[in-house]
Amino acid sequence: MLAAEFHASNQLIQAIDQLLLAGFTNLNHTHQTTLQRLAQVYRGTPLEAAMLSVATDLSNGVFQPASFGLLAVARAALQTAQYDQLALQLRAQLGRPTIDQPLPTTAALASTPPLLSSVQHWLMDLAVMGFARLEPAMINAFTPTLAQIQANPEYLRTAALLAGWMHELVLQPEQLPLFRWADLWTRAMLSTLSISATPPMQSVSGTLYPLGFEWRQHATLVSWVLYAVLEAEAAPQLATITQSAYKVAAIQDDQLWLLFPEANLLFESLSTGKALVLTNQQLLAAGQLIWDAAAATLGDKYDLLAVAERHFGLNAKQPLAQTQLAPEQRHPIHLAEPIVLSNYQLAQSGEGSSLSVGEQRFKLDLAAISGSEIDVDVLESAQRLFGLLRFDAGEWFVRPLATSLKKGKPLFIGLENGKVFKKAPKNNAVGILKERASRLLREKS
Amino acid sequence: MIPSSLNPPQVFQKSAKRDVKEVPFVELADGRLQGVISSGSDIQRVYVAYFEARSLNFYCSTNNNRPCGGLRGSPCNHLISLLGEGIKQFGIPGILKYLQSAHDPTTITTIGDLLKIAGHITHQAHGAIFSRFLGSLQLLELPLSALPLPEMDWFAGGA
Ligand SMILES: [Zn+2]
Repeated sequence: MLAAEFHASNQLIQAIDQLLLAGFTNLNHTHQTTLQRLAQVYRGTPLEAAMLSVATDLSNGVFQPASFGLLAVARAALQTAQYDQLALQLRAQLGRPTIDQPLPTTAALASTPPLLSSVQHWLMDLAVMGFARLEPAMINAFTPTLAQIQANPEYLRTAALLAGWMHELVLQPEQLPLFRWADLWTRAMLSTLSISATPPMQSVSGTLYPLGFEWRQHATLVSWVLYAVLEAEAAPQLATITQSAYKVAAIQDDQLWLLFPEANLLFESLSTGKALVLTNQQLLAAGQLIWDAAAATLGDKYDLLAVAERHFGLNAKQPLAQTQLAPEQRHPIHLAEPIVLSNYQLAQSGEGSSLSVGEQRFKLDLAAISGSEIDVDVLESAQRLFGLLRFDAGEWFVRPLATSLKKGKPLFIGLENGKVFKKAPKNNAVGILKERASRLLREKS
Repeated sequence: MIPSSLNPPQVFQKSAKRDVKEVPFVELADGRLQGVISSGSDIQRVYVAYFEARSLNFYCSTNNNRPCGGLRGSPCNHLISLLGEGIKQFGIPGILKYLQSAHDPTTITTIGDLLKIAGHITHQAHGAIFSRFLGSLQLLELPLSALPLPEMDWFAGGA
């Protein structure tokens, strides 16, 4: 059940999105009212004066990147509040503790670097024109800037969002996904307002129990997150490992793994069910390991689902807390609560599939598993899964990452494709293109 | 109804495997279907070719801007390969839409149909295409990132 506040903030977000759709040179009376409502919402907050003057400027057709930056902040803050509310509600329901660790502060940029300033101007142009009226020329005009942003690893967050969005914009779909595009516009704008400096790290040694990979990708970037339990000197904790690599559209499926040679050891750990012994790996405060395959070796056997269930089952013996994201990063899409479901009833209907355990019912993310190693049939007979509880479009759903049909033999998303580590394809796109790159790029210079 | 942050419009269908040996680069950009095609005979040479929006006019030249010998009034084999791989990556409807073709998309379903509506030779090479190819290769040479990248949650799926 979603609280009334959620629906209220969602209504305001969708009203803001109507402004982005129509374009700020085209505001009608309803749109003007939305700007006034927005200013009212921030009354009594530190943003009060700024929001009021932004609302006035935008209503009067005075357009500056800073105003659109603040509009993005205002929209994002509504989603931060939604994230907090949903996280609290879910953890209470699952009986899991919350950690209130001190959060790393993100410094706002004193002055905007020229490249990020170009991004802000382009995003402003899109908003002024309106998503419904974008011309190919406007979209193409950004191509050279995007190429420069991608070339600078400091701007990876901005580049990841904008490269993915550009592929969608270029196609000009009949059905414009307004909410999604407004999200992408907002996050891209936010990403130009601050730069997260390399966060403080500490060195850890201990045992890592990998539980599953979650993959994310668009045409020119691919990224995975490994979810795991880390037993170091202190109490066990949830740990994640992320790696991201640029790609080209032609690199797909199993070839994606070849972009991540250091993932081989993690894949081996998962597929053989052997834990990893870590020696002096770097760990960020929020539980993210900076993966270094050279500082890890295969260790003893472990039972993936047993480890996962101990910490993430519905009645977990040793429930683990999850650390909070920094406030400016909170958005319902980032909610990812690890969960183990056992002895469930799988029900399929026209509206989708769900898993029931006692009174609790969980919608299944069918898109994520169809055609995968752990499709509905496998889940039906496995009777136990590890996955993530995620939230989108007003509802929670389970995205399964791993299961097992035979005791101790894990099945997980990516298992089939990862077999390229054992036997690299003869003509693999990654190899061919990297070879071209080394020849052509050296030749040129 | 609360709308979704996910479910991007279909950007490119999961295609038959692209042949990157023959056509290492193909994209819809700058108002063109454009790309780079390997020479059949010389590993050091590549061809740069494109079809441009609306007119579907085309051209093919070496990366040193020498006109392709195979171009005689109609698209050469390089342009045909480019189109074939472009179809694999974007689909015919995606290409027609991007190139703002005035033709009824329901009547164009094969590569042959597309070739029939091609325009004329432009005799104009675009250096930017080869630069963009080099740019995409440069991306492949950038180091991996091992830091969290929550922004990619908007692009869930795959592999
Ligand atoms: Zn040619």
